[in-house]
Amino acid sequence: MECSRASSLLSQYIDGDLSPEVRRMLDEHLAACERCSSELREIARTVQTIGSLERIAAPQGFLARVHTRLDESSRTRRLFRSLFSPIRVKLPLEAIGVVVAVLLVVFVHQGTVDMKEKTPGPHRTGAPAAPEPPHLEIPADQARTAVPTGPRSEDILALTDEAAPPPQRMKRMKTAERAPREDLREDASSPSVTNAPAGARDKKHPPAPVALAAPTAAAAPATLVQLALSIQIPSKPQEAAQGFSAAAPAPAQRGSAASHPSAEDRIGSEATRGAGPSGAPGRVFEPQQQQAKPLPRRSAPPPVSVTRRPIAGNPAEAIARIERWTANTGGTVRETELLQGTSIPKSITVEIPASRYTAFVEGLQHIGSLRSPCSNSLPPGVEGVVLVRITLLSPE
Amino acid sequence: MGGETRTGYGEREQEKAWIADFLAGDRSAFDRLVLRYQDMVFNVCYRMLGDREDADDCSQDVFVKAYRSLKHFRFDSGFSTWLYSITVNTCRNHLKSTAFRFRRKAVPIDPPKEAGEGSRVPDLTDPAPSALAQIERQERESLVQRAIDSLPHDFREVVVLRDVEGLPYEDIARITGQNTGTVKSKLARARNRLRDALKSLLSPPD
Repeated sequence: MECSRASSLLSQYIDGDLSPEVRRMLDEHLAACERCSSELREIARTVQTIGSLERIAAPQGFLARVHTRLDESSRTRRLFRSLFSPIRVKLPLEAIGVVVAVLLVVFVHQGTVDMKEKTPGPHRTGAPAAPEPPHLEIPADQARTAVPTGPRSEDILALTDEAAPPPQRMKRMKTAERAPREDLREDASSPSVTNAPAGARDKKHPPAPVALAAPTAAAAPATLVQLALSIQIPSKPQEAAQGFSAAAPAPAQRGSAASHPSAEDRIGSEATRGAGPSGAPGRVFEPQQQQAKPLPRRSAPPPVSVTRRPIAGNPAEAIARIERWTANTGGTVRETELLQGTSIPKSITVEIPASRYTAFVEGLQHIGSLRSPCSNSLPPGVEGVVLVRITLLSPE
Repeated sequence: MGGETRTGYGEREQEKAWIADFLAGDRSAFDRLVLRYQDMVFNVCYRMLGDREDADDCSQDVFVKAYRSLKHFRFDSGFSTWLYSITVNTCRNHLKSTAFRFRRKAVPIDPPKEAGEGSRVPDLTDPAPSALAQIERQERESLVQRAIDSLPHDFREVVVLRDVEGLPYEDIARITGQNTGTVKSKLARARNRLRDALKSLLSPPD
């Protein structure tokens, strides 16, 4: 027998719990192994020590204390049983608990609502907030098209009146827009650019209220896409090649030659001529239209040319219809240009939501004829609002 | 080895009669059972918990439980074995209680403060011990109790039931809810641990 096995049997050996055969083998091992014999003696002494501990009697009055505890336990059990009796008390208690819980929820909720009503909001307390845009006269349907004017105002100024910008225009210039603006200034400086007195302009066609929202800290600048759209009054076919689209600058001399036509001569009853085939542009009502270079744009929309369609009525009527159509499509009239020295409108610049551009262009065709090729869709990626400049072309 | 508390046949029949009287409504019959087993229960609780007050509190809980459960006793084992089971389980609960763990300390065996108040059973081996011997004995038992307190709870159970109470392996297995082999194994390991803890107290044999 190994010592490990012998050691594991010593406890049972002491208790006399070994079989005779195992006990004999262990005895033989113990007779030959001093270490296991010493261990046996130590364990036996331990058992004897534990066994010799005094037996501690229960304290006096133990039975009385047991009775006391029994009585207390009985009362507690009876109370517990009565409180949670399934029928007598439990159900009413549960119902009361539910009612109390509901009342608590209501009171807490009401208290929360009252606190919110009494506590002023951050904007009332003057907490720093993003500056609100100036309150301008904004038609309700045009309010959503309010965008920072920035470069657009400058662009328009460059086209119309470099010297005396109207006071309502916001002169916010962006560095990125300066280069294109230079081109516009060149156009503006040409004699064909209308130099109608501001007063006259204002009197005849006061600029439509423009929703010019000051860019707030939270407002993202709108993507501006400026288009030149000419509504051509049906004219002679030979002028179709002159290219009066604003996107395709026409030769300056050509534009100059037709710089000062008589408005009354140009604008006739071409509305009664009927729509001609597309691709037959008429004479530019304002020669400067030929020299107008494409307005600065971040994403260049395709040029829009004019197709031959009769225009209804006279330029003023056309402008009025365009203004109404602009409002119907959720746009805003930005500016109306007048022929130099006259009160006759030559072009109108409107601001149209990019999502409405297609519908807007299609609607223009009911007012006049658009010069072809005319793309009635914007390039992909154009969002926000677009500026559409509609130049009235007069028939021959 | 400690005195055995196993009841003889006569005592067992007497206990049956007391139980029957108790179930019939005679509360005094339960008192008789308490008086017969209060020292046994208290001693087991004391050796398990190592503290007199805890042992008193635990012992009372044992008899309250016995009082509540006596109507379920089926006499498939002796009443003492049944009471041992309640005692061991109640001691386990006390050992696991948070309050006990916070109060846990090496408690020496306190000498009785008053005569008859938790007085020790007279030592039959030394009918007239000297005061010095008395002190030495108290210190020795205090050290032994500390050694028992150092054992894990399950080791402590088998040592108390076997070496203090003198119960057979089978009864210990039934009381502790373990098989006999486990009891023997735990007992061997518990004795080895106690041997190591008490080596300094062991005196060479005469």
